[in-house]
Amino acid sequence: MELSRNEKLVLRALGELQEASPGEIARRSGLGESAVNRALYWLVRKGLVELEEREDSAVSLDEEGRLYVERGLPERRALEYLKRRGGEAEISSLGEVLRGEEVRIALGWLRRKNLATISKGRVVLTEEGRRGEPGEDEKLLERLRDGELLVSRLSDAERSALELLRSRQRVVRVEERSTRRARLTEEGRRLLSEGVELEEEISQLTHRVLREGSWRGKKLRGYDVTLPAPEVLPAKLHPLRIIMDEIRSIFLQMGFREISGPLVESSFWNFDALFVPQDHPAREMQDTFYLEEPARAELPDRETVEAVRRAHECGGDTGSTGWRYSWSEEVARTALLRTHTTATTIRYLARRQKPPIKVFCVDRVFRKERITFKHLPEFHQVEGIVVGDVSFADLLGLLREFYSKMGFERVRFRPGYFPYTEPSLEIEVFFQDRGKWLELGGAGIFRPEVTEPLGIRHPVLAWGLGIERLAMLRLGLEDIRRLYMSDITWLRRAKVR
Amino acid sequence: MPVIKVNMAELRRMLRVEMSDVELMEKLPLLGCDIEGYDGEHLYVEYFPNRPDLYSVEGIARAYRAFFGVEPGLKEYTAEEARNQLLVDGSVAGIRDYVVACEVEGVRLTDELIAELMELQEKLHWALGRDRRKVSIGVHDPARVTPPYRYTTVAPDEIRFVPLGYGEEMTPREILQEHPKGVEYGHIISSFDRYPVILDSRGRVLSLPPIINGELTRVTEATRSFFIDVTGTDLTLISQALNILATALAERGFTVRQVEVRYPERSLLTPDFSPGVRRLRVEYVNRMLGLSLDAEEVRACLERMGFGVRDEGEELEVLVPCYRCDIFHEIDLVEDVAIGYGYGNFSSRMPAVPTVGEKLPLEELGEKLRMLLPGYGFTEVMNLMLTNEAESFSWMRRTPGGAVRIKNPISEEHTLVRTSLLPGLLRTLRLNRHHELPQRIFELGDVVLLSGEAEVGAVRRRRLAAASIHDRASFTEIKALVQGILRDLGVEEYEVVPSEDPAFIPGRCAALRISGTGAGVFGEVHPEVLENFQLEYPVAALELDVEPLVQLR
Repeated sequence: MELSRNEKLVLRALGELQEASPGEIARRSGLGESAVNRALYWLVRKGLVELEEREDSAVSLDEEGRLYVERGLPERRALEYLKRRGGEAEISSLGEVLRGEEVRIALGWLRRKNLATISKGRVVLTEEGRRGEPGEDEKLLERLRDGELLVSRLSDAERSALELLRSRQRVVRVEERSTRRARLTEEGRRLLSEGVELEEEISQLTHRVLREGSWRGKKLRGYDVTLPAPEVLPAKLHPLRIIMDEIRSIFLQMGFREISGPLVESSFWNFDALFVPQDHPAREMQDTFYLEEPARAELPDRETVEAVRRAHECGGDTGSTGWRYSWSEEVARTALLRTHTTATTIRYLARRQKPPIKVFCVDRVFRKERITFKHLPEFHQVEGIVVGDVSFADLLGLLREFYSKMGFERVRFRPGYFPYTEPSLEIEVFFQDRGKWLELGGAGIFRPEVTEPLGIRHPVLAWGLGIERLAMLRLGLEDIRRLYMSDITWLRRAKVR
Repeated sequence: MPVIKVNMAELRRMLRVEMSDVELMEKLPLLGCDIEGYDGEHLYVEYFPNRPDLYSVEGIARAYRAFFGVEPGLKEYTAEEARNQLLVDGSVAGIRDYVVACEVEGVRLTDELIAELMELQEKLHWALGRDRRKVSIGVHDPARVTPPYRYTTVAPDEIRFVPLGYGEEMTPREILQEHPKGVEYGHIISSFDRYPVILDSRGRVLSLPPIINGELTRVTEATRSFFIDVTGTDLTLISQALNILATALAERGFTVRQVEVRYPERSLLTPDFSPGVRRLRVEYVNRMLGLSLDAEEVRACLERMGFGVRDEGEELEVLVPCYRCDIFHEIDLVEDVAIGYGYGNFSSRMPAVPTVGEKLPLEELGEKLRMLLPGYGFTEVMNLMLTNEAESFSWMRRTPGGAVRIKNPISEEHTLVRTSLLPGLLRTLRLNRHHELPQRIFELGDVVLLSGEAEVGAVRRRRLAAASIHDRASFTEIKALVQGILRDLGVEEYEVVPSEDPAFIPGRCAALRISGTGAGVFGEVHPEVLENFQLEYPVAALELDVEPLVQLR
């Protein structure tokens, strides 16, 4: 069995003491008490020592007691004085060796211990008094001079003596104590009888030890490698960022170009260009942050604005009925904080680049939401679009590919609704951890009323999802606020998968 | 979006199919809806705002009878010949121009049915009516009124009547001021000097649209017939709303009768249940969906969605049910073909769109910075961009200005968009002030600055900010970081000059200059700022512009 040097020393001390407290072992072995305690812990784990926790009382000297140990009890001092005076004396003469109260105390105890009698103002020693042998109480006091004693370890005579001492004021103090007693086990005794050899050990390999080569021929102490080590936390990227970068890399692998656009946006690009009618509920003040400054944004060229107006009012040249209302340029000019990244993709498309186009955007959007455990007024969206000779079947294929790269093998599609896509769909993925299907994103083909006014002649496939929701599902987070009002320790401890 | 409470037993009976609740719950979403809840008896299901015809159990049953093949194709409804008239006065023009109406006979009501009817009415008000502005519906028991009815206008104090749910007569003006519905919807008509009303032949009030009906025509369990009016600003929309409501009642087995609505210059017989007609090219369907269906297959898909199909060949003539209000364009029929075909039945394929992926240069540099900062011991944080005047400026000892301000903020905490990342970092340190030190954090994010030159009146700028808090946080520590980052990025040409940003301690603040223009600031944060953020240890911090670094590369 591997034993450290300290463990061996403690084992030896216990062999000599049989049973002892850590303090006693410390005195015997020459180790510090905390070193003894550590060694005892390991010896117990190794089955060599057993420890007994015991509730006990400890007796120690109190204020008066310490004085008495130096000078003797008042009755002892009186007795010695009487002896010198031939065995008797006037009571008043005791004042020569005792002070104040002590005279009364001495007389009381001389009588009580049957050491002297008192009559007509004189104190006379009895036979016993003349012998003057030290009483049990005095012997106990003397023992206490070296420190406290456990009541359980006192002899019967000492216990009676203790009772006597306790009947006096401030002589001894008795306190509750929990004590540990160590004793060798069978195994411990066997090991000790085989002899333990003390060899020099090295616990910490140091620069000096290495430079001097002093480790040679010495033992490097083994550790308990199963013990937990303290937690160490790295500086880390934000978990949301890790997910965003993962999504970016998926898009890049799939051949998409990254784009970005303004956060302050005109209603025109955020809503009108996407065929969202001007009285649509999403455009209301309770859903969108409008701006006091800048209050207005510029509209694009006349031609684009007119084409969008006609799409809204009567469908323009698209063959649609449109929304049948009078479209307002003023409303379209209103500035707002972008409510979706589609404002950015449609802006990009309006530059009428020729297909093939595959672009994506991972960025922040704003919605007028109160801060709660599940909503924030700002969050991140990812959006991808493909323009070319493509169809709904291509969109579903792309989505399967994209979500499988995200780690979702089981994906299903459901009809959905967005004002600017037709057909529209919702994507549901199967979350293994939760054992259920959850909606994670929307998709569709941009409506002709969206694409044609901007001169786009090819189908535009689009899809997007909210990143915070994905992050919460992955991190098992119940409160979205954690992501933005962060506990640094939580961030440093967050999983990176 | 509206959530419809569907009694499952009732739905099953109307569907005429044997299906367990579980099976139904699996199949309903295939037509397009989100199931919000199920209590063993009722299903709570959310249909999209483009399908208000699904806002009643009757409408839902009708759609799924077609979808499940129980009753595919166009559902035809008939309305009996008109007996009564609704006369429209010219004075409604410009106030609430249009009205349509119908009568319903053979009505048998229960409390539950009355409640469902009112629910449907409210949901149509929301979805089609934009909260009654464009459409509002009145359902009346005509037992105590006498046709012909009149749709006209009155001055606010001209008449008195007992509004629904009230015990006493009120003038329209009083209703707008005192009645809860008047307070809620009064804004729709309050700017006019005359309000629209529907009266009977003797001047008794049926309703004050779009606010409230009169108590006189209250619908109860004893009601045996309805007079229904729908008023609004768009004739198409109010006709669709009436069709949705009237066909739902017809589904209940009640008899719908037309009303002759006489406008000054023309007469309408409403409701008109005849289907709309749209052409659909089979080639267009296949091109948009990536399928190769023939006309017969397209017809089958459309019939599952409740459409009639008259012509076959390369172009189909599609009969659009009178209750559908979401068919704007041929593409809307294509979606219905796709749903009828089943989204789950499409085979996946990858589009042949050959392109090369490309990162934004700004993001690419961002990746590098995010690689470096944790190496220097800084943990990334993300903060909201919305903030307020105090945190952005006064707590930072900085002069207010240059920030985008929200017109309709949700709270005083979030009234503007950040112009600096530093306050957010200090806020994060405050949140973490009871945790172990040192703490080192960074944020790579955007600020938005007003700009008269920008198309949208503001520009976004990418910034890198970092802060270190501990007992010995110092200018040297943060300058070493600035130097380190610039060295790592290979930026050799730069200047560090004393700066006077009031957020920092004077004499312990420097500005970074690249090619002669400011590119950031760093130093020891001013104790007053620390106090404002309740921080009790020194903070050294930097905030750098990222764009100039991109341009250098």
